[in-house]
Amino acid sequence: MPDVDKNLDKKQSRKDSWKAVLVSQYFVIILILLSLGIVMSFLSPVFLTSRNLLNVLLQTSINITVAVGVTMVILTGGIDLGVGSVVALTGVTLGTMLKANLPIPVAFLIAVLVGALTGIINGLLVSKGRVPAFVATLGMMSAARGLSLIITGGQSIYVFPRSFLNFFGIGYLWFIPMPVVIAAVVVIIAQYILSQTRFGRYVYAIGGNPEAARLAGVKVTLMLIMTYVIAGVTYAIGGTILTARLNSAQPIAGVGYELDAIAAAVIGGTSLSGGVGTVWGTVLGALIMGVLRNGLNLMNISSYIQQVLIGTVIVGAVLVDRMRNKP
Amino acid sequence: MLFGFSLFVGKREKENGKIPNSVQKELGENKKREVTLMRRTKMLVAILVVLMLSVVSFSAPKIALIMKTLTNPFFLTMKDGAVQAAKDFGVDLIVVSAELETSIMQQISLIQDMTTQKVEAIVIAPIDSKAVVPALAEAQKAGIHVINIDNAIDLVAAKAGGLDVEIFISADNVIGGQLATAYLASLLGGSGKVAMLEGIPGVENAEGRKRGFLNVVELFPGLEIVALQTANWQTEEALNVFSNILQAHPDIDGLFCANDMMALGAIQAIEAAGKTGEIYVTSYDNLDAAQAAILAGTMHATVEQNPYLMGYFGVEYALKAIAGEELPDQFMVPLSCVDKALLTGERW
Repeated sequence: MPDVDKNLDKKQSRKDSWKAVLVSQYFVIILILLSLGIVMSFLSPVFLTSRNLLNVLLQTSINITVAVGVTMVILTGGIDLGVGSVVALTGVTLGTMLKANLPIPVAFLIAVLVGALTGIINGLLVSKGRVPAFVATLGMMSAARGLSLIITGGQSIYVFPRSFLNFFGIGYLWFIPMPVVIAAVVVIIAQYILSQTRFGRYVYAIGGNPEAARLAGVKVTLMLIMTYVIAGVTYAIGGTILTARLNSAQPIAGVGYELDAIAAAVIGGTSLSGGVGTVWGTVLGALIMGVLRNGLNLMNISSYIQQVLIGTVIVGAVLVDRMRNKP
Repeated sequence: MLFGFSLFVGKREKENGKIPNSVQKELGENKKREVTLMRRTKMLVAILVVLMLSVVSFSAPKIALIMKTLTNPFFLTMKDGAVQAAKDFGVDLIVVSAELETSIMQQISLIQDMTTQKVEAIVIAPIDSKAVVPALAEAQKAGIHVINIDNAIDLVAAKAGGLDVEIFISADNVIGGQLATAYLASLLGGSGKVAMLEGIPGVENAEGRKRGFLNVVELFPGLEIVALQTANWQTEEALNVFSNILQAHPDIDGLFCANDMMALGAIQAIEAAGKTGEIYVTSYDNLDAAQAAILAGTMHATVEQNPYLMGYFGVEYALKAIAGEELPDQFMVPLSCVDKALLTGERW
């Protein structure tokens, strides 16, 4: 009698785990990503080569890095429009430090500190100042851009040390491009922070219900500031990768990055009202956009049509997700 | 009246030899008020005089230089030329610029601002050949002379919009495009796979350089165009676009970029793909960074189009227009091809 029961249980649990995959929040976006990939491989013979796939990862690495930061901010119920401008600001800071012959790790650290500083300002404005995140980060978007132009006098800074270019831009770890490695490290750390630490739980709690979180004893102000600081650090890392890939620090770089980052987060299932979303989802969202862009480029389709298609995919992915969640 | 009162008081109290404190205080305060009033009136008059003096324009004509952007060293050089001309001819030059090479609306606002400021002439490097027509037409109606430098204003649109561009100062972009492409063709021995990164589509100088490229490629049956895409004059976009072109056509032999900013992005893509030295790159604008790249061997040639002269003659012709002289339709500055041999002094 017990044996028969055990077999039935095993069969049931196998059925359950299949169900789990089907209802997993990632199912839809993984499906979209795979189907896009399949379509692209039919439309372009070069798409499915390992070189091209690595290229997709390379081109998406900066967006993945900053989108992870933006995801954390959105999780708390906020938003960050200053992504691109802070990427530029940290990039030109890094460039200026490198040109002043500071050692590379020191220059990188200073750039990261600048990113963190913008995060502190944003965090303070949003928590203590009670300024809506949209407005605060909109201000940062403008101010950081202006600062970048002031620091450089509007001109790009060119030519950096080989070792810097290799580590952050064109080097490889085995066969994987360094920017992809860096993005992966950022993703893993962020995933750990969000899922394994108390801070991560507080982030979700604040996003779900800030008042309840505050009443439950969560130091909302401190948590918010830390969130924006982490985001600022990811923007600085993104700015560093960009500077290395371009071999120049440009004050006009990064225009529009915030839109790509937010799009990646939203496609990946992050709710703009806060409390819902994951790092892996954002990564998948960024990859969907990257695959789409790369495929359309390979097919020589104009960038204008690309923009229309990407907008459609963003809305489509979120629509499908909403429909699936409604019983 | 005050004085009279004080006299009266003085008379009464002088009997005691003393003026009572309260009255003394009041007298003092009144005197203070009088003095303050005098002082303030003098200040006001002084301020008014200064204001009037500053409003009355002296003989230096006011000319506005409206740039496309100042984030590209090419335009900085253009501005330098204009500033030098302003010094040489005694012109009050107001320099304003849009932020990016894509900030059309911002440039239109600048034109309107300069019109309000009642400058005598506008020297403009337009971001868009057609979008600036209405604002410039308004400026011209207000009596402001319109001098066009660098990128041409579309003459058909100008006519339709009631704008008469008094002179167009630039370099011939078609000839420039032909120069750079001919150099590329010579490096390739007349045959191979080539691509072009163009500027903002539809804009006159971008279209001119593309036309030059296509003209020369047509002359060489061995040249095959595998890709022709825009990177909107920007470095980052060029990096991404050319990376993708390299993916689709890894055996590409040559690339012409419509400006140095894009070429600098493209050579990074070539570097990342490990193909430095395998692909010939020619470009346009002769920026310092491009010269450095040519000397390093990552790029091979660029076109000098003398932006300094464009800026200089822009201001000089603006002055002539203000003086009522008849202006030619166009003034083309000379072009030259800059390659490593020229830079190292091997040839002149």
